[in-house]
Amino acid sequence: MSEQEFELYLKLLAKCLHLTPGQRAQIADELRDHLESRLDELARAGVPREKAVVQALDEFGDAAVLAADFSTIARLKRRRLLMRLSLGSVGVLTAVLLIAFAFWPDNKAVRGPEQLVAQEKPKVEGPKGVPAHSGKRVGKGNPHSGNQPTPQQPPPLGSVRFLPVDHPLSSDLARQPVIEARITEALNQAIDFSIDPQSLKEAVGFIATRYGIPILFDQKALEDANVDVSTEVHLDAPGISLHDAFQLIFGQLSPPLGYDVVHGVLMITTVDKINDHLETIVYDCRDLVNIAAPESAVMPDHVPANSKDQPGAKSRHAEKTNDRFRASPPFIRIVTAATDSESWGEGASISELGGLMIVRQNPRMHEQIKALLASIRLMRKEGAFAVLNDQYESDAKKQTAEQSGLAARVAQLEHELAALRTTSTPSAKPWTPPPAK
Amino acid sequence: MTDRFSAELMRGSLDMMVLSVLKKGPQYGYSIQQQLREATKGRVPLPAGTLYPLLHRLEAEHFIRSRWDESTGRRRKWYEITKSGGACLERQAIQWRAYAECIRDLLEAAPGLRPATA
Repeated sequence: MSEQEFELYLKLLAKCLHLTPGQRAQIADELRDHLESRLDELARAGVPREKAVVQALDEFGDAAVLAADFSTIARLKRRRLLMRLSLGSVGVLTAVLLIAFAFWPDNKAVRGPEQLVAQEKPKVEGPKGVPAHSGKRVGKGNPHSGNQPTPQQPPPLGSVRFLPVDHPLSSDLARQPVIEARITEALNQAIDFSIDPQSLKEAVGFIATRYGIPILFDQKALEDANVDVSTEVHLDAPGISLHDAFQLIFGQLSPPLGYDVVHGVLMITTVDKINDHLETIVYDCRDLVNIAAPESAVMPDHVPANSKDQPGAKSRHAEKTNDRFRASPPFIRIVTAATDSESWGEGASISELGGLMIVRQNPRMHEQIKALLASIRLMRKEGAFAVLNDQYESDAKKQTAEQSGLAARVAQLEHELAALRTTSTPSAKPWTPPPAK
Repeated sequence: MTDRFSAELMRGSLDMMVLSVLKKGPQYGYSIQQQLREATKGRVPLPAGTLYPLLHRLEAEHFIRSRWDESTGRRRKWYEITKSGGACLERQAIQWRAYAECIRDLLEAAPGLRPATA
């Protein structure tokens, strides 16, 4: 009695699964067993067959979403296997080397490892609890707390909002896969645990289990940067967000680490690697299109005249960047001027389409942009731009009128009119005495 | 009678719930779902679309392992808890008991709240 609807659903699911045919068949078998068991139970309860089929399928939800979840987990499994294999081979190699060393005639090498540990420890424990590399992603001054107002009422347990303003629509939020949305949510939650001194690897494993989110180490990047995942870390700051907890933990390592949410996994890697990873996000800025910003206010670095004679590639680059965005809508100029101007080179881009701002940048810059837009919106909510707009408009009007000579023409006309009035109606009240002829 | 628990409330504890059902012995997906429903008087519905990815993840993390059985005529995947799964459950259980106690104390100290109906 295998239900056609079930098969259709399983086929659709299999199509969306990026797995081997064997894995797909196993998932289909498992879900088929569940669907049929459920159908039997509903039939026993007297639910009509058609209704029961719909209900059983409803409980599985959207096939594409389910497939994405399965695919992500399968990838996680594969990566863990690879990691274990590579760790295993490193282990075997180390063991072989140690044995060879131990049996080597005339060896004094037994002290080697002890010395290594003794040298490494103070290095790790030096910056205890202090994020040593602020300014980078690790301790970037936290755009989430820096710009956010204190919430009016205490939020439900474990929910701290990423962006406080009620207009955070951008493509990364709108089209985030389910699992990545779950990771983002976990990052915003307040933590209710502390981490006793233990290795980074163990601490991260604990967090992954607790929140049910896949976390991986970028082995290659960490190896290249000589980061040891067995370095001891600790944390005792319950109540802060998981995002901030990561920053504090990563701050105990050197060089600075950060995380990136890619392919449904929270990847721990070096800050340098994160900065290399450009992603495109579409920000909905239709509400900011009409904000008028005086040019001088957004071009602090711009030196028009003899800047070419000045040494320093940095300032020249900033100037070039600003030039590039001179003709852009105000909010693009604001964004490019208020974020690190050096980051707008190689591969990065910003453009506008009907009030949507399309930005290709690294996650650190995206965080800066989000925080900036949030601040602007917050200020506007408080009414800051109402005054600015009025003042700007009246200034602009005056300027235009003067430039076109309109003011002079108006004065002349008024004068002529006055002369005309006095000749035709001498008794008219509000006019000044006629000039003597 | 209290209604179903909100998804928000359950999110952090689903792993522990599934592990504690498996602690009693091997189960397959559907039976895990049913046992959970019965044990919680229907207040933890755990839809199939959540349950299976969760099981696969727990397996990837080696907290549970699976095997196929065809003796009943229907191909069925059975799960059982592993040693590290048991240890993880134990850790989480200790934390959750302490957590629940904290919350209870907190709520009892809050004036004007209606007492729990169970």
